[in-house]
Amino acid sequence: MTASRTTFSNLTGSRLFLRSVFLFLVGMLMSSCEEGLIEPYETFIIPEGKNYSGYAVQALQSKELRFTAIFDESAIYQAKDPVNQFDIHKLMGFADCNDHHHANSARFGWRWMEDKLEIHTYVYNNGERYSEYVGDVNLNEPNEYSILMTDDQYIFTLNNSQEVRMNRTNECTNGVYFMLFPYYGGDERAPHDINIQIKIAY
Amino acid sequence: MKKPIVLEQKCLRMGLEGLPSFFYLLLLLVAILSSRGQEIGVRSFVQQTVMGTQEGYAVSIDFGRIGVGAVMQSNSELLGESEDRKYPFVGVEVRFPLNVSDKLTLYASPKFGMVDQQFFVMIPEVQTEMRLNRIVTLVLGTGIRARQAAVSAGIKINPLNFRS
Repeated sequence: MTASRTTFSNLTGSRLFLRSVFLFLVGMLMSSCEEGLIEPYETFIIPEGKNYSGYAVQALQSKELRFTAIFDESAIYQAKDPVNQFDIHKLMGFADCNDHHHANSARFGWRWMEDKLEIHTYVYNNGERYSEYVGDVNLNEPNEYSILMTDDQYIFTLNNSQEVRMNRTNECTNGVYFMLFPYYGGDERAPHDINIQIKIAY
Repeated sequence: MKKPIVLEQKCLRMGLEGLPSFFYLLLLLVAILSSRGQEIGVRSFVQQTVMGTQEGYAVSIDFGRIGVGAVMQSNSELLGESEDRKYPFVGVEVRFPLNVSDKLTLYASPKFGMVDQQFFVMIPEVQTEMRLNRIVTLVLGTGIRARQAAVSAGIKINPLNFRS
C-alpha cells in the first residue's frame, strides 16, 4: 500500500496529465459504439436580420451530396419588397473544384411562394447563374435531397423522384470542394429567425 | 516503360486505385529515412467516423522531438456500412509532439490527403501513443471528420529502429 502511494506521488504532473488523457481517449473509443455519439440532425438558424446561418467549413468528400432537410413554420415569410419574394434562398450544396461559389457551384434553393415552399436548383456555371424549379415540400416533414456531380452535369434529385439536370463545364477534377450551408437572400435579410434541420447522409 | 502501366492496370482491376501513388510516397519516405530518419513504424488502425468504420494503415518515420511524418491509407472496404461509398483516403499525416514522457506521447496529428482520388480534405486529430515495449506501440486518437467526432485505435510496430 505504501509502495503504491509512493509510486503515485512520484508521478510528475505531465505524466499524470498524459495518463488522464489516455483514459479519456479510451473512454471516447468505448463511447463510439453508442449511436448517440452522432447527432441525427444539425439545426441551422439564420438569425433575424442576418444572411448566414453561421460559418462552417467542410469539404465535400464524395461525388454525391445527399442530405435530409426539415423546414418548419419559420420558413414562411413576406418580403418587404414584393419583387424579392421571387428571390431564391440557399439551402445546401457545394462550390465546385477549387472555385469560388460565384464561379462554379451547385446548390439547392428554396422560397416561400403562394403558400408553398418551393425547391429550386441554384447553379453557377462559369460565373453565370441558372436556377430551375424542382418541386414543393411540406413543412415539418423530412425531405431527401441529392446533388450528383458528373463530368458535365449536376443531377439534382428531390425525394428520389423529381430530377433536374443542370450543365457543368468545370474541367477541374482534383481539389477542394467547399460545402455551402443555409443562406438567406437574395436582396433582403432574414425577417425573423429561420430554422432548418439538416442531416447529411454518408 | 511498360511495367508501371501494367502495375497500374492490375491495381485498377483489383480495385486498389490508390496503391501506386501510395507506393511512390513510401519510396520517398524510405529515401528520407536512409539519410536522416531515426525510426520507422508501421501502424494498422480502425477509425469510427460519421462515414462508418474505416480500416487503414500507415508507414511513419519518427524524427524524435521534431515530430513524425507518415503516409497513410484508409477506407471502408471491409467495415463500412454503405456499399457504394468507401471513402478511400490516401494522404500524409504530420504529427507534432505536444507532451512527451517515457512511455506516453501526446501528438497533434493533422492529416491531409485525397478522398476517392478527387476530394482534398484535412482531418484534424489528436493522438496518444503508449509504448508497450521497444517494438510495439498502442495508438489512440480522436479527431474531426466531416464536422463530426471520429475516434481511432491502432497498433504500431517499429521494425526498424535506428536510434542509438
